[in-house]
Amino acid sequence: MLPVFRGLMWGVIGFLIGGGLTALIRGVLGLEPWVFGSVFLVGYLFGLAGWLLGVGVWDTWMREFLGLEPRPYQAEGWRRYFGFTTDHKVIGIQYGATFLGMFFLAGLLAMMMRIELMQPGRDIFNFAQYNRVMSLHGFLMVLVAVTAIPGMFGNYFVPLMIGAEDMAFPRMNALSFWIWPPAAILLLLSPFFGGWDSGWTGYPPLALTNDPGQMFYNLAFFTGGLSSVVGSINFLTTIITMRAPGMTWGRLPIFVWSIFMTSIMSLTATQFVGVAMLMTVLDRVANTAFFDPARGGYPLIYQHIFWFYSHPAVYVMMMPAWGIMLEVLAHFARKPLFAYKWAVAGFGGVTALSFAVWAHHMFTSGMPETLHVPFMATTESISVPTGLIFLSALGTLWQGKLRFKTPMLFALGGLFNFLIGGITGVFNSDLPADVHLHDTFWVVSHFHYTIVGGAIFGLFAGIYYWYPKMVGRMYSERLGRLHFWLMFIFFNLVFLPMAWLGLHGMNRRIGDYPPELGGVNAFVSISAFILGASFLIFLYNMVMAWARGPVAEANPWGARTLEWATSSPPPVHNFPAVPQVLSGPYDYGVPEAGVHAAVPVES
Amino acid sequence: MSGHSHEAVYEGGYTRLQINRMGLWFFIISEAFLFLALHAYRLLALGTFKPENLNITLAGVMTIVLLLSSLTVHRAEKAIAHGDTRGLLRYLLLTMGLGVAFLALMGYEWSIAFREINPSSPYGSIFFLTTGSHALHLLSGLFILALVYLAARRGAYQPEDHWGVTAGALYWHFVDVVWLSVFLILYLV
Ligand code: HEM
Ligand SMILES: [Cu+2]
Repeated sequence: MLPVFRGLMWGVIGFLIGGGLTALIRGVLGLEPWVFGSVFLVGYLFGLAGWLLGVGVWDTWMREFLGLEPRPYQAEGWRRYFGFTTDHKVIGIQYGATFLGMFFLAGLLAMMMRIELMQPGRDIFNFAQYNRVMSLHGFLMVLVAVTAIPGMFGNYFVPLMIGAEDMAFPRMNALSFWIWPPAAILLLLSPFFGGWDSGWTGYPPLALTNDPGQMFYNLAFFTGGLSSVVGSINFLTTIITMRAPGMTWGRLPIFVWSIFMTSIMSLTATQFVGVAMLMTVLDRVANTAFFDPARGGYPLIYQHIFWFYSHPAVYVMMMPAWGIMLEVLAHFARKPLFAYKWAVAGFGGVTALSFAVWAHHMFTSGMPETLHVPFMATTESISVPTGLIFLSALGTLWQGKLRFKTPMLFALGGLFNFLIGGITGVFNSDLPADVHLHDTFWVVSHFHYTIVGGAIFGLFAGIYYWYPKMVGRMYSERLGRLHFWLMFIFFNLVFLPMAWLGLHGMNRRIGDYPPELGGVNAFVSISAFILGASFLIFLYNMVMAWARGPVAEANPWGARTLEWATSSPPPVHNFPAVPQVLSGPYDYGVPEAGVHAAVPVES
Repeated sequence: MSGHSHEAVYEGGYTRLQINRMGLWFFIISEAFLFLALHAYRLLALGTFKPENLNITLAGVMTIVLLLSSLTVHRAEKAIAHGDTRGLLRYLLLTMGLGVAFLALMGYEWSIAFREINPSSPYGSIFFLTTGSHALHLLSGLFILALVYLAARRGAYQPEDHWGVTAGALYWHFVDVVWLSVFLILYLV
């Protein structure tokens, strides 16, 4: 039996055992046995354990702990992708397929929202339904933005770029991926249990009093956090200890740096969101009083704990995308990455500051006013390290021999969009302005410019850049460019008017708006449909290339970094033997540099 | 893949043991943030408020029990480093015994606290969640030490190769340090 099916079976069994036991205990204690909250919670935790054991943890780990012979999953071809495979390249593709699937699903939900918002008044949803669709869309997209790049490209390319044969802990790597499917299943099932309407932020007291569907969100967030922690332990250890000889910290490709810094944030801050979710669930099922004002609890503290994670999380979304953009810019400008050290310092500065700005999401929440000015100051100062990264990008382009291939177009487009996102952010962080901007479509515009315009454009730059390496075939450059131009133009036509709408009184998270905004909203909706349709071109291009595109060379872009110094796709252990790194990864046109690394040939 | 060496030498020359230890350390840092979040709730929401009938003496005794167990697990590790498997087994048992004693005291403490501190109040909630999370970590520490004990009985550890013992001991020390922070934040401040 394929491990996924075994995992599913044990997951269901675990769910039934956990839920049944809880009902039994409740019955013995004289409580009403079949309440949704606690039965579902314990059932889920048992189900999660059952799923993980079934899908491969039992065979690969527990047997070893118990002194039995481990039975690692060995399969060939497509079956590798449906089991507890430890090859980092397989795991990267597993992540990629899962999260691109979630991306398109969440995109469909966005299309439905734009149908509703196309004209004033109610069309296809009532207000409650609108907010449920909005919440699922937003949360799925947040998960995609946080996970897709580290999961897909981090796993696939960090070991390759540093010349390692795999990650430091291959089994933990598989674990980090296989934690995700239960979270995805929860979210896919949530609409059938009423969904939830609190948005991706899940603030109490609403999150304590609304339908039980809220718990699907809490548990999915918690589960995803678990995976983030496991993944970041692995990235940090791998990058520190598994660099090929000669791959000094000063020669580390910038994408690897971005994953390193990102992992520092995921490793630590994620625990906070886990605690926020846990406390919410306990308030719902165990009568605790963390956030419930009816029992004397403190809903505002939820926001502090939540944003202590979720602000760094926006940099978890963005930093790997910056890594990809800088990577692509250097290779396609055929120049050394400008001010490499300052860019790394920029990453470090953003990472450090990201822990000190969270309350800028709470200017209108009623928190103590003494916090207002300090958080305004820290937030605005984050522009300084961000500026370093920007200057590195611009300096790299300066007098470069630019080659406008699809990945380069996405990197440049992402840079442009992020500039607008960053500028709108400055208005948000300005206290007097934010009092008016908060909870309007201005903020919606801001975070779509940063996340979609920045992080998702970076994701697609990465897809077009590394596709030939991962799949071994080449896509159509013409369709790639077509996709870029449609996506870039219509992205801006969707989200720039949203800023205007926000300034003119359109609130977020409400399925309606003042009637005089109808015209602009109709324009936004139509642009959004075209933006959505542009992804069909992407899908067509990728599928056709996969099925019968021309075979890709080992190094179609003539790039220096190590992932291009092995075949496309690379063999199981990446290189015949550990490469010897001799010079920097971006030393294009540097006369004395020579090759980046000497890769031993097959002996 | 011919002649593929799994003893690859990377920049910095880290051994497998050092790599494992580093991974464990990152895990510990991450878990520390879990307790930081719990303490943050306590301090942000409640300041230094605490109910009058907290049993600080009992918590003090529990602290001493755990500190002793850190000592014994350290001795266990030293024993196997000198090749003394019987010493290892003895000190492991002692450590687990102290861990169980701690949990028993904790259970006693909880049985009183359930009556005296309302779990449906903010302090009660954070009290039970924090001590409960710590107890869960301790329980998993006991589970790990039990596995180490079984492996040690099979003779799995040598003076130059006893990563399992090191890992279990490091985790155990961490759980002890966490308790010190819990004691400080919930009982003392
Ligand atoms: C790294 C790129 C960025 C990303 C991914 C990002 C993402 C977000 C998101 C998702 C929100 C909305 C949260 C919600 O649902 O309520 C938000 C709001 C906000 N952002 Fe950003 N942001 C970025 C950069 C910036 C920058 C550079 C600044 C300041 C200079 C900034 C300042 C703010 C402020 C103050 C808010 C709160 C606005 C409000 O709710 O009233 N952001 N951002
Ligand atoms: Cu923020």
